[in-house]
Amino acid sequence: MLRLLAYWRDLAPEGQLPAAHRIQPADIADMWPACFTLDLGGPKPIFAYVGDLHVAHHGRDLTGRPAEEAGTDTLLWHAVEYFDEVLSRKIPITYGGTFPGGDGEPVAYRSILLPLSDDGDEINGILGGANCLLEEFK
Amino acid sequence: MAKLTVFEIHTLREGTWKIDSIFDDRELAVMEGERLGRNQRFELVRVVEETFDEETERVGTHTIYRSAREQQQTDTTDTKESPSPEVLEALRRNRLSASRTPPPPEVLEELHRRRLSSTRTPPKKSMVKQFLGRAILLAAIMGIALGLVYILNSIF
Repeated sequence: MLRLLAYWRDLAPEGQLPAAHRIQPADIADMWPACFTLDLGGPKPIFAYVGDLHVAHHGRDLTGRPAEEAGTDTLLWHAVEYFDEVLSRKIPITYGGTFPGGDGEPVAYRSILLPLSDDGDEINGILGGANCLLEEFK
Repeated sequence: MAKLTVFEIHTLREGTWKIDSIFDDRELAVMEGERLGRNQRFELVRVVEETFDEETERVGTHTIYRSAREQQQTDTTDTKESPSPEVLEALRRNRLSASRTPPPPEVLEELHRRRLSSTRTPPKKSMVKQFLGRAILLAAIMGIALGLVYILNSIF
C-alpha cells in the first residue's frame, strides 16, 4: 500500500491531485492486478477498472458497474466503503480490517484510496488498492 | 464504548501545515512519515495520533513523530511540549547502555587489588558514648590516685 501511495505522490504535481490519465499500469505492473479505479463523474461511483485478483476473488468482473454491487462484507466492499471520506478530505486514506473468508474465518486485509482529479483540485476519480492474506493474493 | 484511533501525517510546505494522509496503523503511518521527512519537498513532517473516545466524546491528540528538522528546531526553542515516544525510547536506551558499560579490565583489577589491601576505618562513636567513656576513664584514674594517696598515708 505504501508503494502505491508513493507512486501516486510521484504522479501528483506540486500541491495538486494527479489525473487518472497519468496512471500507467506498466509502471506498477506487480500491483496493478490488486488495484481498482472508481469513476466519480456520475451520480454514483462506478468501477472504471477492477484488477484480475479482485475479479477472480469476487467471482465477477465489476468493471463498468456501480460500486454498491461489490456486495457487503466483501474485500472490494470494504476497500471502497470509505470513499466518501476521501472525497470530503481530498487526501489518501488507508484502512485495514477483516472480512469473512470462504470458510467463514476472518481474513485480514488492507486497502488504500487515493484521490484523482483532472483539474488538480476537484476529485472525479479514485485509485484504489486492496490486498489480503488469502493465498491467491500472494 | 470504543476508542477510535487514527494517525494523520501533517506536512509543512511554504509555511502552511496540511493534513497529507490518514492511516489506521501506527507503524505504517510512522514509516510513511519518516519517508516524507527525508523528502526535500516538505519543510517539516509530523505524525499525529488522534483518539476519539465514544463514551466521553472527547478527542485526544498526540504527536508521535517529528521529522529531524523539526526536532532540531524544538531543541532550540523554549517549549514545554514533551518529546515524542520515539525520542524518549532512544534516550532511555542510551541511558541504559551507558550505565551498563563496564570499565576497562585494568581498572577492574586495580579496584579489586585496592579492596583487598584496604583497612576499614572504624566508624565514629556517638558523642554520648564518647563522653561516658571519658567519664569512666577519669573516674578510674581518680580512684587509682586516691588509692595511692591512702596507701602512702598509711605507710608514712
